[in-house]
Amino acid sequence: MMSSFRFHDTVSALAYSLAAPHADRPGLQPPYTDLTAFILRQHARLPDYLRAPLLWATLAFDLGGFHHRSPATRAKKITAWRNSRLAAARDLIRYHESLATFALHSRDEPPPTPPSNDNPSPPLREQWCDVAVIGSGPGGSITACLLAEAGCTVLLIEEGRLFPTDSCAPFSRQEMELKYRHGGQTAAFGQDKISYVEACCAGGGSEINSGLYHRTPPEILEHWQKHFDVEELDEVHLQPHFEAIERTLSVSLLDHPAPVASLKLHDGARQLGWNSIEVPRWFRNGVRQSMSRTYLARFRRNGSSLLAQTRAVRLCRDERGWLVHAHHPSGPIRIHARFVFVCGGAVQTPALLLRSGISRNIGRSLAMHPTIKIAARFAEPVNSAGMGVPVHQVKEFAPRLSFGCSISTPSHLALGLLNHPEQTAGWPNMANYYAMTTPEGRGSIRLLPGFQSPFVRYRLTANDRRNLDDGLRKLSDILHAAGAVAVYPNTNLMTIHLFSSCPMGENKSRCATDSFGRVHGCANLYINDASLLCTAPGVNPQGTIMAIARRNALRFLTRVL
Amino acid sequence: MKQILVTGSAGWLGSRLMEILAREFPDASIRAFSGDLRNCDDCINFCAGAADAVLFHTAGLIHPRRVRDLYDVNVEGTMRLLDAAVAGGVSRAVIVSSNSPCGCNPHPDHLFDEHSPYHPYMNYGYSKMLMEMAVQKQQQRGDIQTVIVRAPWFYGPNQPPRQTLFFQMVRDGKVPIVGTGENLRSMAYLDNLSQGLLLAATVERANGQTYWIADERPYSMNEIVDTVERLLEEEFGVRCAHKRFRLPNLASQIALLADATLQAFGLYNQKIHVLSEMNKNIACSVAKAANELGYKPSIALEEGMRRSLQWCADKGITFTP
Repeated sequence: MMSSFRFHDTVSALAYSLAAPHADRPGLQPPYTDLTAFILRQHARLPDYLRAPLLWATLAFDLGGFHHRSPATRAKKITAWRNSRLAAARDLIRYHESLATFALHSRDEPPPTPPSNDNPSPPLREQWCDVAVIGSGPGGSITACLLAEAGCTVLLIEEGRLFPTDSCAPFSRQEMELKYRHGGQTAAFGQDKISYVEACCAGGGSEINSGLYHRTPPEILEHWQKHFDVEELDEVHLQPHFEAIERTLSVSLLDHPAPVASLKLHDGARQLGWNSIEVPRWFRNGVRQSMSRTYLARFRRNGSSLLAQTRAVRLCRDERGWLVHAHHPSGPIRIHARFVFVCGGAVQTPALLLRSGISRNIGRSLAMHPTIKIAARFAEPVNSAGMGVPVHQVKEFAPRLSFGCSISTPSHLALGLLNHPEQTAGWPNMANYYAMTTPEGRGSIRLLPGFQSPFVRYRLTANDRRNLDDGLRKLSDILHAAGAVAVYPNTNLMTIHLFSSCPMGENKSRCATDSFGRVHGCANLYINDASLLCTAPGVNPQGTIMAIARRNALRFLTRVL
Repeated sequence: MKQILVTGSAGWLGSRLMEILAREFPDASIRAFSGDLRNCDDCINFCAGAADAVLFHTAGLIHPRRVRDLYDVNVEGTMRLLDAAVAGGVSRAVIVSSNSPCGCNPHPDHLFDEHSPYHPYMNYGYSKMLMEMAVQKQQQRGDIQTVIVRAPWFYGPNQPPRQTLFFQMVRDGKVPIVGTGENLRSMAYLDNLSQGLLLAATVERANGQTYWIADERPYSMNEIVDTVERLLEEEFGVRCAHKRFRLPNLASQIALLADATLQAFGLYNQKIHVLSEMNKNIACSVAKAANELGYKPSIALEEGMRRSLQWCADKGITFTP
């Protein structure tokens, strides 16, 4: 109790001090009780193995009575820790600073509508079905929908909640609090920390991303066939799946002008003679499509049941096939299924399998697209409150490097400008841009004894670092060519693309599943999500994930059932 | 407002509120509570036949003889009164609370607002916190509208002897300044506070809300004492000692410990309690009241203290030794 008050008081003092550089701007003035409340909420959402260390570090920071001191004295201590030689000290300040800044600059966002009553009555404690699909992201939703439409009894299990469409503004703080796993506070650890985000809601990543669509590059498919012995995975075999997905999600180019910030990148690249394209998105009549609007809606219309707020804890074999031990706020649930499809995404899928004692080639080859960002300032306005999603990508150096314009709300810009708080006032003239790399490095997902959250590691190779440097340089060149008057690189690495933690293929020395997602050595157990991608595809991966999910689900229907 | 009920009308705030209500609502029937909040029948009789009335609950116990009295009056008494108000058909109750449920500011530049978590200061703060929670529960049942008004240290006409003593201590240079004296205190001039109470009673959206009501900005302890001293000398011809009774922060720490120990035994000493608070920051933001109620405090420290001293002078309380 005492330590929780002390934690609150220290967080509050930190929030006041960290927000001080903005305190003279209208709308950003104290009191900062809202910032403190946000930081405390986010702290409670952290992965379990980080919660206590962060609490202790904050209390250690308060030793000597930091929170009783005057603002000037506090600012000095913060500066000292920010420039400390101890990485843990720097990270502590960074953590509080990011959250305080993000909360401060998202103050005027509208409040979210409350979630729909996804499970009106507590679910039955014991349930039976033909197929249990775990996870309702693109992989899971497509699998569940196609199997249900073919007549299987399908139970779709989702850890997050089911939200009404348009429950919160895209890329808002509310969305982060409601739909992101751990409130968006997840990172892969290693020499360089790479923060990543995962969705935790019905519809998964498709509900929170920009919806940029690429087919898998043919040379990537070739590479997978050659090195992982994946069968029937060339352009010809995938063609019908791509077409079906594109139809269902109405993948299309914009029918209105792209945001100015996006066009700037396009112009800059063309000035340099570099290839830049408008990437199609899943969009219909001005509304971004997602699983909850397409496959998941179809699945539910079909009368099949979605079990939201239900976390699969462990899989066990039973006489009929598999028993899924799951947890719902109302208590534990046991689900008996002949077949199980695990579709929890590149981190959660291997974690569930590892918890169930299935470990062969599971969670050891995580890949991602490490990304580095730049905030660029232009002489004229490029940004506005409803800027819309940027759609251009520079593909001149693909697959090694891709460049694009990223989400540039005032709060996301402020996050990129942590070292330049004075610049945030000019946000209408600024936008965020990214350089995305396709690395050689690999990562892993492990379980820590006594903790629930999986521990993610990732190692960049020397080559990967060179690529990131090169990406930063080339991106600056593009932005300068586009007329940027200043660029502010953000040295924190991040990614929103994770995959390859359970690669598919007949090569049993490196693959977790066969060419169609059946886990090697486990009857009736399938994986059907981003984990299957053999390596990083070098393009936004959701098109690939959906096409492969459709291919595998249809194959299951014709060959297995 | 046709019918108005006021508890605590004999008190510092209540008596001033009665004057203002009589002035603002000459046609309304204003009923003052005369009885004991610890007595059920007193409460029921008071609220009987008060259909659609507005109730101002300003009665409360700050400095008790026994700690137990805080709970009997502030928590149980308020609940008894609210039950009686529901039975009597009162439409809205405006309940005066305190800064104490939130305790002291965690750091010197902090301001309380309506999102601040509970962190009650001693038994008084705890009793007011329990009171607030009970009031909110009652409101959620939908039988009565309630508005909670959190007021810090107030000042103004009709002041009790303890405030007169404060002025005397300023004159004699005996006001204890603990630490630097730069700690901030929000204060509420009674007329500002009364304005807040009236708005809380009349603004539709205030139902179910809590508001901090105080002067526009908090004042440092030094500013408060300096202002009173200057006014005494320049405008009321009282010669002051121009001294401060300076104490180290440790003094408040010791007083805090002593206060807590006494209160643990159910005992209460006003001077020790006040000394324990002397170096604390108790400052709040009135932004929510300004935005939602249209609250606009018109009187600040100097004018408020001037009027307080004038009231003393009118009452024949002079500060010449």
